[in-house]
Amino acid sequence: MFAFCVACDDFIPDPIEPRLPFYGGLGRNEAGAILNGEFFINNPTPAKLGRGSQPPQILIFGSDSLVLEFSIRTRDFNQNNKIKIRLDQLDAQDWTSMTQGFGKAFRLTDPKIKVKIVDANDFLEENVYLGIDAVPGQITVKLLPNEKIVFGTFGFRAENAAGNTIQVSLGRFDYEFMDF
Amino acid sequence: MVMVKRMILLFFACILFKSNVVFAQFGLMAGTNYSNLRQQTPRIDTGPQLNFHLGLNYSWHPIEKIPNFSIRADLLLNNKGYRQILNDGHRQVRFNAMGFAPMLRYQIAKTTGLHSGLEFNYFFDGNTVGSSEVFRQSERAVFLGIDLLNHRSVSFYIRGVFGISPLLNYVDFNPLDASIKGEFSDFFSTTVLFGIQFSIQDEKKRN
Repeated sequence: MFAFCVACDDFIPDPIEPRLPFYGGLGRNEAGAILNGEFFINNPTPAKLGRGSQPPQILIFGSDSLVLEFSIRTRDFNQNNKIKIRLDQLDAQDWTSMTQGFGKAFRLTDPKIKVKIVDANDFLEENVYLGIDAVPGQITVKLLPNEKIVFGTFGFRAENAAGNTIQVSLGRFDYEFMDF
Repeated sequence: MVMVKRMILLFFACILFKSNVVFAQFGLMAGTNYSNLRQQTPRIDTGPQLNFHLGLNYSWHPIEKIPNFSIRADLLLNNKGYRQILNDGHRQVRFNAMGFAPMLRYQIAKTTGLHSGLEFNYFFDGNTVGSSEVFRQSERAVFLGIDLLNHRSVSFYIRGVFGISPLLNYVDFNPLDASIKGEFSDFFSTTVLFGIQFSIQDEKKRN
């Protein structure tokens, strides 16, 4: 039975899909997604879990790169994946678009974006999946520069060297960021 | 919330300046309610949830020649919500509301009255508090109800309350490619209240 925990932690569920955190820009340092039908949520307390998970890294380098790197896990902790999203060669228009409306959508066909899923418990080459642009997929990034919050959505398909695929859907993230 | 405050102030101002307040009565009410959701675009499976409510009310007969007609207002502590059914369990969603409900009431028979009005709710607690990004903090509703045995000091009522403002304040996006579709306002509450009312003064006796 799905144990829904709203009183014991700060998890605020999505009202449509409550097994995932809601989409919003509060800097809650949370993420969630469905990977091949399995629900993954943010690793909330990596220090206590002792599963080797690392705190998320949301970094902005100079004026042309944005790195989003966070771990998500199943509720039973059996699977732990790291999502790595890297945006390079960003120009002033990209940054402006990221602060407006719902943010900027980067399609995986855009050469500026690189997406990777890595098994956080096992760094074998076969557990590295790269986002592919053959099917619709994108990352939406919304930036709140004054609050130092970056949030958005992601959905794409990723493939490993052996041709196995992971379908990522209903992804959302909401993090505070550091800039350099 | 500001609108609710204004309505409450207006109501009590009317009471203060009324001359024939002798025809008025206070009441205490309490009971249970079944609540659920209505959806314009069905997105989730829901089931009813059993909740409770309690409140106090004030009513008066403004027109002496029509003693069967009265105006009433309820102040309610109301527990609303719904049960979201998932393929691997369920989730209970609770909204604890402070409500103000002005209404018109008409006594159609000695033992039976009908009432109808508006309900303004402010959600002050519940397991959705803190998620104001996805749920609204207030609600407007209309209702229609029936009072039974209200010629006595202990009476009963049934009331259907239908939310007319959406509960959800949500950004919707495509599940596969994560493209944002835009704002999505939906989820309207439906509540059926069953309760018992204790009338502190009986205006019929004063007549």
